[in-house]
Amino acid sequence: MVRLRPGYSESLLDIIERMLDKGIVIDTKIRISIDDIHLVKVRGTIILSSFSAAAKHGIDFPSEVIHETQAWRDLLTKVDCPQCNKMVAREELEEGCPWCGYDMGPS
Amino acid sequence: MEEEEEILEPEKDTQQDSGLAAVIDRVLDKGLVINADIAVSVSGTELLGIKIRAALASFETAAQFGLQFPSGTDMATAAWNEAKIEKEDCPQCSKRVSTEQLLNENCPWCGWISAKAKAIAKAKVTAEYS
Repeated sequence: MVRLRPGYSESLLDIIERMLDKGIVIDTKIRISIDDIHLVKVRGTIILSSFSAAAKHGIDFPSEVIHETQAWRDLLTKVDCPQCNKMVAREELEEGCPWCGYDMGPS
Repeated sequence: MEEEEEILEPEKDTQQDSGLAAVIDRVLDKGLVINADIAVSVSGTELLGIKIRAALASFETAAQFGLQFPSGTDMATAAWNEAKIEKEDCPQCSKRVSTEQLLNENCPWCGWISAKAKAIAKAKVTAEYS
């Protein structure tokens, strides 16, 4: 997610937000052995992500999440406006962003 | 005793975006998914298996994404109905305003007008004069 707002420096908040929006996967295999004797073996896959990234990538949510909400539909149909970063339906964005008036130009 | 006069100058708050409170606020607003499958084995035998499926979010975000609430939660209250309305941050004052109002009218807090609302207003004026 690129912020194009002028004079906007990267803060911790932006870094965390961007990390979670991209999703973090930790896939690890740790083996501790002494003298060729395997003592402890740890195998783990860990995912950290924001709701939107998780939803887009089909990450398992706990228990039964109701998928018939507007928020879920938005995630699958809307894209981020390159200028103001708001979520806008793709067709709407092609006519100009309803938030900031960003024009994609002739496609 | 002479005391140096201190001049209080308004300081620009450059940290407003990165404070701990802001980070927590944003993370809860965006929601956090933590999934993990961990297996620990000691000398060939699997001793410990951990499976985590966790979702962390504010009430509002949880309601919007249809997350499960603990049994006995009364979802018919006014606060829940309010939470289910789609909201966005006003680009100017950052207040949470219903998306529909913000897009089609203006921000009730600071008066910010979206490109769409401007276009609607312009179309109205043109229609009146023609």
